[in-house]
Amino acid sequence: MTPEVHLRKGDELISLVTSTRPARPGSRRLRSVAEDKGDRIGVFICRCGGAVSRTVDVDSVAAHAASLNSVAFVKVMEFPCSAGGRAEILEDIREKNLGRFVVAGCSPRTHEKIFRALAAKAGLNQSMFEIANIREQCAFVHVPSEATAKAKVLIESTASKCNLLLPAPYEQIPLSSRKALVVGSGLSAVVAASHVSDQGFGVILVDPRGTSNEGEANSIKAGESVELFDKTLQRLKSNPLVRMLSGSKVIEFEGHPGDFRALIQTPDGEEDIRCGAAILAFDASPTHAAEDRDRREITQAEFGSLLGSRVVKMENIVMIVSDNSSEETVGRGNYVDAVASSLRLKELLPSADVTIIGSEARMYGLHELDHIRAQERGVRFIRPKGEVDIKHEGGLRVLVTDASSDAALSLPADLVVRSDVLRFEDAKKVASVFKIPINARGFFVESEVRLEPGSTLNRGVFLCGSAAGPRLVSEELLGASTAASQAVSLLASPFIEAGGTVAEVDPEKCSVCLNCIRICPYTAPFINEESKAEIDIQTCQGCGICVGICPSKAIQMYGYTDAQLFSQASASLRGGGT
Amino acid sequence: MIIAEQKPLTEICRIVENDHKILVAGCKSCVAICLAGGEKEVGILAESLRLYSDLNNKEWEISEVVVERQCEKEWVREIGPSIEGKDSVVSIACGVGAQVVQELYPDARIVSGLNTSNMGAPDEPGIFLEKCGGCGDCVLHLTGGICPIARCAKSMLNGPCGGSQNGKCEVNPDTPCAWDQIYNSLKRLGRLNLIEKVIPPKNWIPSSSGGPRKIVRAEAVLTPEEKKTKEGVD
Repeated sequence: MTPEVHLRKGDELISLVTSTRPARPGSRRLRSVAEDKGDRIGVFICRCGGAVSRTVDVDSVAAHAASLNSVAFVKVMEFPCSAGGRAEILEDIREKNLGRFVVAGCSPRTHEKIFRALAAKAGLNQSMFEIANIREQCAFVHVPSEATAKAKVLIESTASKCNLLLPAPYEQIPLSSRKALVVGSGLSAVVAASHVSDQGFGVILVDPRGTSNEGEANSIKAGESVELFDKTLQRLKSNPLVRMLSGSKVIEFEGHPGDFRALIQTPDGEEDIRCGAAILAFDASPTHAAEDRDRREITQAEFGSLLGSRVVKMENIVMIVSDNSSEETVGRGNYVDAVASSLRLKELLPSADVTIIGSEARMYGLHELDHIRAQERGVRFIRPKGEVDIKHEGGLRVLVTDASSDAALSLPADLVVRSDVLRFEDAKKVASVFKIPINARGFFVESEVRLEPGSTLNRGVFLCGSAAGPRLVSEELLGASTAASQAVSLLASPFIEAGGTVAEVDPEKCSVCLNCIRICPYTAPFINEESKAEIDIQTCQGCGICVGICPSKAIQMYGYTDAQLFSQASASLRGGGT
Repeated sequence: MIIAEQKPLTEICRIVENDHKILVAGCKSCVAICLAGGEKEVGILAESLRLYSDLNNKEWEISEVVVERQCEKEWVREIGPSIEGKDSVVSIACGVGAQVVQELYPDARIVSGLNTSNMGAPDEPGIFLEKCGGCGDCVLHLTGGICPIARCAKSMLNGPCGGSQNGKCEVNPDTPCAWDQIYNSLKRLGRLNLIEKVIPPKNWIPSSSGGPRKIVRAEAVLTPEEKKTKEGVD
């Protein structure tokens, strides 16, 4: 009988039916090779052209490394990471029959990939090496005597961990589709789609609002971006690589990078498609004002289309810019939008009397020039003190106290224009389909804004558009190309690499308590046919949360097993033989 | 499952104050799932006791063991060798497990490191809620699948009481009113007529008022002959 487990996650029931996911052969590897040590370790110490050796006495460090029991070979090199250096290491590994090695040099952040490739080239498992950072974490921050002592400790503890390394599982999985699924209706969506298709990859553009059909961009305000949207859309329509599904939405999405399956609801019924990557290019859209509001109070978006129709007759316009600290989800470009539309109004109707009320004049970058231009054209700027009131009886009047002069002003207005309140209504639904988190303000969350902009916790799913956070149009364009280039680099890769630093369950210890399944942010663990938890190595990101929660200590992570960490810690505490 | 939580470390230390060789014994079942007594917790408690011992010059010898289920003799027998020679065994299984170990090893001092709380279920990660009162006379068919014995603070059979406020219990405003939940559940099920049915005073004899309860499954009980044969085999 196949066990079936249902867990509540978000609004959706995620079924962990296991029949389609058999246990991975060889998944007991981690435990069974725990005894596998005694390989010969080589230690390669980097002088880094003096960056290390000026501070650290590398020869004394090398002598200490050579005195360690587990170490069979030590070499001091100028640049182990250079092509020549790597060739030298390769030769040494083969000649001295080394089974694993330590590179004492700079950060694994920058150099891990290089040495992983080197290990593979030498015929070793890609995980059979460790980096001891004696540059940034040692030579750069300590005085010579202490740096040398610390380098010894670092190398000793790294070697003792290296001694216990286990060959990690690596799989190279071919991509089953090299198309990108782009979902969204606004500028970000069409721009991302065009970037991907320009680089020769197929695109399926799912457009929930159907704006690509009507050729109308209802979330776009500034004139330039409307033009860009129309132009890009026309280009996409004539591109044979691009398929558009208008008025459609994605209702199911599952799979792995390079091999996703999406179920799409189109006006003609449901359609099953395959794609290798997905870009969520949703734009938060301005909410509509209440039906019963005063018709003379409108939003920037409405004012934008009014300007587009070029029939503006109002003389007195007051714009009230809400600041970003407000509870409501507002755009980053409130002030920019107000100034831009005031300039357009002044072009159409130079006699118009425009006042902009806002406490923070946020004009990013070159937008500052618009601010100056607006001032030159006679737009009035007021910094309010306290609340801004509107008197509706008779002619509309805006009551405001000017913060600099303390003067109570009563401004006549034919039209009051307020900042747009941006909301992404479907965020929760979309997030649960694509399994990506949303934050408290209802925006999609990027996995690591600084290191991997545009990527999400669901590998292979990328983000752009203001649904990932309030953005200016220029930032939306940048975001769209970032997401597109991330997707393209995935689609262009010869295969998807899975494994490495991943967690593994010892089925004999697993008590099937489901704690790992409940806590994993990536939905990597599942219950396999043998009714034990198993971690899907294609989905696992090596965060280690499941290792920490497992009450039966059934989960360990390659590269960070308890044995490795304890051995590293005790070697550090022993202190480099000094 | 059975829900339990660990006693404060200071209390456990006080209990084993005068002992020297101490075994921490965990269980891989319910208490592992509720993060109170599995292999990980055994490791953490043992290490904490070692630290306490070092800091207070107690010279305790702490060892660790985990059993599949401490409530079953067959499993518990496996840890016999670990129990031998210990001054005390800190069981971090539920109270049932600790007692089964005591029964099997009457000469060992078995103490509990957990406070066993209730029969419940994981609600969301890290949160465990009581669900069943173990009254021995189930009424879930009358109450929309929600137990009034365990989930109503007053264990009322004909609720709600006057203290039900906006779906919350007057005893603790964080607790949903069980009878509010029962009402809504019956409404969903189209069986609201059941709420009008007066449930008569409950027969508490099958509950814990008559001493420890015993349930017999005749077909699984061994005859005296079978018992003899078994003893021979064992």
